[in-house]
Amino acid sequence: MMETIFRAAMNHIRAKEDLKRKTRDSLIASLSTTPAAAQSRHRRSMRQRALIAACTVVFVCAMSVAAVSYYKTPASYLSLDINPSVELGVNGFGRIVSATAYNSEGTAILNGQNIMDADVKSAVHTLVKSAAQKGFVAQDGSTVISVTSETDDTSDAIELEDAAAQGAETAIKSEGKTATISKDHIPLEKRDEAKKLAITPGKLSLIRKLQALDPSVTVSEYKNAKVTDIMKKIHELKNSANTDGNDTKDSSVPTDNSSAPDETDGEDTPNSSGTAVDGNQQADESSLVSSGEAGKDNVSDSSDDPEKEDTASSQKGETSSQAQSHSSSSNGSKVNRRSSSSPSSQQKR
Amino acid sequence: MEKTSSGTNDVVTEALDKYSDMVRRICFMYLKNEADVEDIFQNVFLKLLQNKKPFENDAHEKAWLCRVTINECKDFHKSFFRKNTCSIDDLEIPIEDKSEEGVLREVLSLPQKYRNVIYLFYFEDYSVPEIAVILGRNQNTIHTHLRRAKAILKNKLRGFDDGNYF
Repeated sequence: MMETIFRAAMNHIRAKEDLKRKTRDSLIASLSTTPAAAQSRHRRSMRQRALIAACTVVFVCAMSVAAVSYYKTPASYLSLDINPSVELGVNGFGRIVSATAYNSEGTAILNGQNIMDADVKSAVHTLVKSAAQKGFVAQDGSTVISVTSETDDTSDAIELEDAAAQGAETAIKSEGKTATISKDHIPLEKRDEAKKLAITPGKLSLIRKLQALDPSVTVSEYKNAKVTDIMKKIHELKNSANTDGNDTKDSSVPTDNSSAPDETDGEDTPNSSGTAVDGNQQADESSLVSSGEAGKDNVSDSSDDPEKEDTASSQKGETSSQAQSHSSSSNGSKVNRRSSSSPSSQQKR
Repeated sequence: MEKTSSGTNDVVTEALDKYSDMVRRICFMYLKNEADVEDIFQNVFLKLLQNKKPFENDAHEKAWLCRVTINECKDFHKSFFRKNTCSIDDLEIPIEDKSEEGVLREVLSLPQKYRNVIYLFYFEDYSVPEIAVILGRNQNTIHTHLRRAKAILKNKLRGFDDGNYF
């Protein structure tokens, strides 16, 4: 019954004359094209397909090249200074893609080490271990290892520093030695300046800190110095500034002193520019990390500094006259010499 | 179907006269839009006329055309550019008889796979093995589809007639 109804209903569905006419016209137009025209159309279609295929291949190749070049391009850098000075290029995926030695010691620790494509922590671990094995890390724990991230992204910088510090720490521990690890961060623009001077940005950053404490220091003087020596010098200058700085501020009398860069074997070299010392001291102290017992001593030494500063500040009234007399009497000749070479001192005066 | 350069018109006219209604009905089962039907018509008949492989007989040719039309309709539904769709309710069925229209509407509301078998089995009088060949499915699958389609229609059309369905 329903079958009959369905048949009857479907019989009403027919192609209209208008539809047939349009289809006929279209078919005749399509079929009446000459074989040559059809062949030409076929050839054109083949050419289009070939073009699309070529474009696809080019696109895929370009994407591959772009991906490889993105992988191979460092997005940030990490400067490792002991005195072997090495700069590592780190790509966007946190992998090492370049390693540049800035001195012969750097070449020595890089030699035979495969750190390409390694993550920052293991690369730094490998290099510090290599440095320790080659005798660049002292047994007495006096060595300072400086890791400086060079990137404009602060969060990346912290990650890099932490990873590098962890790598250095584990390497030092595994070698049974101790060292102080100093972390720092500089923007990428400062890297160009360091490159021009042919030193690692990390070391340049330390020298700049030293220069802030003692403006007579030049980059070339400390270019080949160990980080340990630079740090030692910075600490000496800070310690002396803590005692002299209060006096300088109160009395407004320049108490500037200079020392030859080669005379940094623990000799005390009192310094002026108390304000600069205070500012840099804060920054430097916060970046000190220890990796062993000797390191802890170093940290405790550096963390003592603010207390000393506070103590010095609180006793400012009492010590100012003594400091003034000390600096003016014992270093009177040096003050004169430095004052001519130190514009900041002159300005203060 | 072979065509000669002199008799192109005749070949086209003959093909259209012979199969246009069948192609239109299959299109009706799949498409709701008259403009879409035009495209399918042109493609189907162009394929028929350009086909160089000779058919064994008329039945073979008809079955081939059924298969090609169904494929064209399916391809049309898959087309990236086809965005406009309309529901069965909006479809205008050119039938005055209410019972016929009701049955047709219910058939059109069936899932596509059931619509095919219903049309080929009840209107074109193909057997289950033939439908299996045309649709490229297993015979048992066709049996199942047919049984399920009947059950759905029986349920939907209850009380519509005297209960003597299909």
